[in-house]
Amino acid sequence: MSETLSKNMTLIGHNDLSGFGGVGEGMAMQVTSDGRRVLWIAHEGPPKNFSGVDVTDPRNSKVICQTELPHQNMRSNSLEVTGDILAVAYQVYNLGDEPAGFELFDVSDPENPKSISMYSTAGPHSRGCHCLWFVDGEYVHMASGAPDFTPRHPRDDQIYQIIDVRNPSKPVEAGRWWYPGTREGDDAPPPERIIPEPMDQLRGGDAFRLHNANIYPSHPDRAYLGYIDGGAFIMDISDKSNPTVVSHWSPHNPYPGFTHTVMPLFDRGLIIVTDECIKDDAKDWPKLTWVLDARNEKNLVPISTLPLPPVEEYGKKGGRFGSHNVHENRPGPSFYSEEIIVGAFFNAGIRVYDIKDPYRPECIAYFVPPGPANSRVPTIQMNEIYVDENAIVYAGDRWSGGLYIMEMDI
Amino acid sequence: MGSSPLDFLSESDPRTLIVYGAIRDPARVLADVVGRSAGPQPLTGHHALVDNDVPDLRLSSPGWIEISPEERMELPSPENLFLLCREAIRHSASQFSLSVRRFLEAYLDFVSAEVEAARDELETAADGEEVYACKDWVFSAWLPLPHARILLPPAYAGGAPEFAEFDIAFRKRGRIIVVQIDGAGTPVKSVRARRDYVLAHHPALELVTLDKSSFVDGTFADETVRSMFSRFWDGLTLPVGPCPPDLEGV
Repeated sequence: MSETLSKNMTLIGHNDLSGFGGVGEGMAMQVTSDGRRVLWIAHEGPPKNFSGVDVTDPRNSKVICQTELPHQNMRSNSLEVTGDILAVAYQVYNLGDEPAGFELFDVSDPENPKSISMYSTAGPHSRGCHCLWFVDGEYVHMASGAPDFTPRHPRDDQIYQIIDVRNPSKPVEAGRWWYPGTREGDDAPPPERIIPEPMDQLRGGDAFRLHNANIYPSHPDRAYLGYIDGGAFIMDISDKSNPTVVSHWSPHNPYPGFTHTVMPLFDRGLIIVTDECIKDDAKDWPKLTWVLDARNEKNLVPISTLPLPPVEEYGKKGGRFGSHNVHENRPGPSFYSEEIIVGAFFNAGIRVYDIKDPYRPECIAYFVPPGPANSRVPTIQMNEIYVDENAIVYAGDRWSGGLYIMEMDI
Repeated sequence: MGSSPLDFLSESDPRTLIVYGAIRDPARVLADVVGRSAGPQPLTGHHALVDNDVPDLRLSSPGWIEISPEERMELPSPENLFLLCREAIRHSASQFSLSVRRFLEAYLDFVSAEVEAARDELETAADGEEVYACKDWVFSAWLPLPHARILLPPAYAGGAPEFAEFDIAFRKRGRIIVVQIDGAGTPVKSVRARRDYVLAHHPALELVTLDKSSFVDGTFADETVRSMFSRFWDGLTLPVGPCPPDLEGV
């Protein structure tokens, strides 16, 4: 694809991240004490750890910081920033390797991040942390293995863990939960696999492990978990040492798994659930973004999905096609809407939906740039999305395209 | 649109169209309003058309609720009638707008409590009159119009009709009070522009911004808001029930 396809969106800036344009699943905005706006970006894989991009002028962004991973058999796919503390997830490729877990950095001087502490979850059955959430300055909620957690299935290793970082130099575990039956020794039977795959691959689908945990300071007693093939969970975390299930919803099977994000829209009694596409060429189609009626949080009812362009058109363009993640309404310098959903859809680019009528979501804007140079696939692979409080959209390509900065004309 | 556009900026015939309720396409309501051969109705379950002749819209204003004579016969008390109005107002709000619904609950509780609190004053004013009960005054409360969309004038829109959205609107003493519940999100550029335009140009519009937490327990925490919606009976001589019978031609 050589042309940009767009509707009601305009590219106002682009940054190739100094040639390391593979963007992972982490973007977070810091407003520094001197008023600069720094977008912190996680990378899809080595050699880079994380990048800091000054987007004070989004039309003229500048990389001001780019750090190296300790070795090449790991990645830091996810990060979050709250105030001047940056939390970075470390996931290793081989069980038992280190560093695995997360590291906290002081980024008050964003050009020179200083390590505050490392919380290790390394262990014989742990790959460390794939994804984390840190928006209140007090707790890191993460999907990670643990030194003392032995999964029955090797891909069910990353469980929900709550880490108290109120003393950032000494993080301590506050609580944990896992899908019943996935731990060696559980009373519950192991979950029935959705689409069984060979067990020698640690990465990928066929997994009952956590992906995203979303917790909002306005509702601190609730956690919203995307548990991959296990679907969506609402958890009561009023006692963080003992998270309990409020409700559970899963479209798998017949749908092909990989729940990624569960985002509540509190004022509307709705929840947005994304199922991530994980295979190229639409081999796992359809990967949908669901709209759930959650007015009764104990009885989640799917009422619609966000419409996607035709699979006949996009399925064979190359790379992944389908849902991935959405802008998550996090606190801070962040766009907040319960009517407009902005999502990253791999080769279908960035798409903006009006869900005022949640029974009939409508795509009101999109931006699909050409496939970037040096990518593994011929198309754009929009992998991550962040929208700031001025409705400027920041999005990242998974393989090489770097950072795309857009305005919405809606 | 007909030959007489609904334009709140018109010098000769300023009228403000407010489409309200859980309506997906306000332009369709507009088409119905202007396409009506007998001329637009001032108030229906989907719109209010206000001009200088309509200084107030109250629960007693005709048009927003339909109550058949049979239904009315089955409603023995003002409380029952008020419950019917309450249900109709709740029904006009989207089931997926929880703050708007909570506001409406708080407002209706508030006006009911106001009448109760002023019972002595209202009974004294009745001076032995037995035609109505004190509680009938609750129908003089201003009618809330949830999900209010105010038609912008041709000067703004030019082509297709456009509307400025607010959470709730009231027509009160010649003013239009629009309530916006804070914390519901970042308005996108077009929504903000339309709101800004109507706030800057409408001659009788007043914006009240409320925090969600200010009406949590069925009442209003803010004294300014309480006073804004209180004493709705002032200036009226008699209370009137909702959906008064059409006596034209009788």
